[in-house]
Amino acid sequence: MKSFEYGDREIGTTEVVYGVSNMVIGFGVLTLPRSLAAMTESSDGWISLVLGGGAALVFGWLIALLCARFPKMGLNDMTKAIANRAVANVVAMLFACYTFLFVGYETRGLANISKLYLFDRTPEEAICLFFLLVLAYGVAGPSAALLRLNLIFLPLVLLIVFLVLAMNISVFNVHNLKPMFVTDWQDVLKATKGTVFSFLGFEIFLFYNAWANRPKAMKKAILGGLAVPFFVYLIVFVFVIGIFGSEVTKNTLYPTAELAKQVEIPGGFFERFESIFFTIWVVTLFNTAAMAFDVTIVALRTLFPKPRRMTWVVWLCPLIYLVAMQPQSVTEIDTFGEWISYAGVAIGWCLPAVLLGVAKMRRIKGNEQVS
Amino acid sequence: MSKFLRGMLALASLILAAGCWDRVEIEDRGFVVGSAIDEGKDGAYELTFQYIVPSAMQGKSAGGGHPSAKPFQNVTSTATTLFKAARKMSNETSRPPYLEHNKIIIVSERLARTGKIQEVLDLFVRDPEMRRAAKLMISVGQAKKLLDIKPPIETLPVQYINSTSENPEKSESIVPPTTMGHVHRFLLEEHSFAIPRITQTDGKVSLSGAAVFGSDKKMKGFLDGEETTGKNYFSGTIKAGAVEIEIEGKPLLFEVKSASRTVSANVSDPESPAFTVNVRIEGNVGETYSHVDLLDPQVIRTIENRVSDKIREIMYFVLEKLQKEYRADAIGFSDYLNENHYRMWKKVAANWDRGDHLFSKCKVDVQVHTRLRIIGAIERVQPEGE
Repeated sequence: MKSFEYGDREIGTTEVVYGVSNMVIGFGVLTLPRSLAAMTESSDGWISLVLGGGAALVFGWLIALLCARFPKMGLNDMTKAIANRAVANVVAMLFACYTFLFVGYETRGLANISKLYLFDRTPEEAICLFFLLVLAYGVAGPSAALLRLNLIFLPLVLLIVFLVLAMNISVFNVHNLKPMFVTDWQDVLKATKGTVFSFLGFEIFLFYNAWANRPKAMKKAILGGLAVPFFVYLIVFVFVIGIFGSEVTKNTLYPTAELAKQVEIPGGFFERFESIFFTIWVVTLFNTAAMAFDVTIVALRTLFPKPRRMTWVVWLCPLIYLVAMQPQSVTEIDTFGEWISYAGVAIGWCLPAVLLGVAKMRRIKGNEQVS
Repeated sequence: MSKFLRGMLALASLILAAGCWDRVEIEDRGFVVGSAIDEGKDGAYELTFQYIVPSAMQGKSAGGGHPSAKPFQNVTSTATTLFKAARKMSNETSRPPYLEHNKIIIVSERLARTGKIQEVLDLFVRDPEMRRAAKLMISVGQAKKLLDIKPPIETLPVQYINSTSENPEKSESIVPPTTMGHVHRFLLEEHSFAIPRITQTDGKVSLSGAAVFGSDKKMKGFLDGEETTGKNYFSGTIKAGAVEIEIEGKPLLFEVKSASRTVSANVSDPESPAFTVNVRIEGNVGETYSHVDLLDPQVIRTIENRVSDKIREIMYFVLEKLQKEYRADAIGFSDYLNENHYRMWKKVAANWDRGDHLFSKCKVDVQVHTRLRIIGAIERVQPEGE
């Protein structure tokens, strides 16, 4: 199949900012308020959120440093320069596995939520299948095209999130936020784990660094991109607690979705505001999953350069489908997600940090001419 | 692959694009706008849904449809679980129930008194088709009868009840609408609460009054209109109101324009906290049959004091009832303690309105400050000294 070839395959700073935000904003907004409220008292979850966000910013900064050190190089080339080819291949393989499982998880999670709120009778198998077909279409083109899609989708997502919040302002009750600072600090730290997980995703830019045209600006771009989800999470959490109170948030599977559901605007049509909310939500999950899928292919192609991109897409799709179908219930999906998150922190965050350390010690730098 | 085959494949994929697994034609949906839940035989539930009849809704003005038909249909069905009862309705109506637009849920007093409210609530917050924003009310007597009222202004009984429940803006004796979401929260927090009471008299509904629930989830009893007013002053939910006092033997009506309350507590002894409730009221003279000189500051002071006394009296009366008879803190003292005296609250929470019933023993000092701002557009209607 021939596809239109864009002349310009480079990724600008704007694309990185939008890409990082869109990649990070995923399920987190829907599920984070519940897990935070369950582990902390009253509205104290925001402290954990700030701590988790802080950790993400630190790792974001380290990853950006690594990117800036090796301009125009993907993770594979960086590792090759720092260690050797064998290590590079292992790293790429690990990364590919992680993002591959991540796509499966996102696909299944999306199907699960859509089935609960949107499609009562459509089987999850069917929802997954159609979502995968669209994903396959999305990743068939070059990576740069996918990243540019973020420029359209992110503003839409932010708009709809703020619209949902704005429409609930009338039921916001400041008293629900009180008392403050009553949670045991150990619980705050435990809850931080979950918030750290919800910032996963931006590490894929280690691969996209190969096309980034301004490596020097990478630091600003990644940190800027992380700031958006950070504030979205914070505002959404405060609103959910302010509207539902801690106890109800704890006992609602997707509090943010319930927020969208209770929007009532006179006029009838908007009585089902949540359908619009979910439509937009599917869009952001599509982008997250598509970027992860794309990185899987990019990583695999550094290992096996021979097969064409389409071949990978065709072979990976059924495998992702199989992975997505493995969890049998909501709890199993959650456990699956948790394991992927552990893998993400290890492979996506700690590993690059180690690489950066080694590079610094051995004084290895990338090509300095390119800037 | 040949060009022809490729073309056919592309065309075939169009079939997928046109499909929708969950398609339900709007004509096939039975829109439920309100539900009533009564006690059936042997612990079963008697569920009544009010369906709208679209053809009769438009028929009135356009001349089409069935002009004589009722714009709604009530269907009742009985089963041990509400879900089952709702499913059984599909056997009896042409359109299966669709609950996205369910606005109100009326639960009968008998169910509420036996603590069934949490069982009733489960389906209504668990099912993703339901809305947390649906309003919950407790009916005096049978709940399903309320859905049969012939509303004088609105087309549907449910619209009539729903609009009436939005009237706390003008009435002080209606509890602000309580949604399923609110009640879900009260139950989770093991909180006493009060929700609107709905009564029927001669084809009219009245939402004045409240049903009080204890922390054991059982309904303890009703508050009448005036007691609900007192409760609303305690909770700070008064938007408007009217207080009748007597001045020189003739009635004078004081219109409450705004009211606010602040609570403070002395918790030096956690076992018996002492509360001070400060209520500030502003308003004007709405109507009077007396001959007093309303421009005289002395008279104004007298009116202010009498209004304060009257409101204090109402508040103490309802407090006595809640503390001694219902033993349920439906006026938000527990919230106050939780928000402002967290550590002390954690110690007494289990004994607040259950266990040792500390709420019933705590001292409450009510202070009311009234300001009379406007005496109306005229001074009097009859000549002075008549």
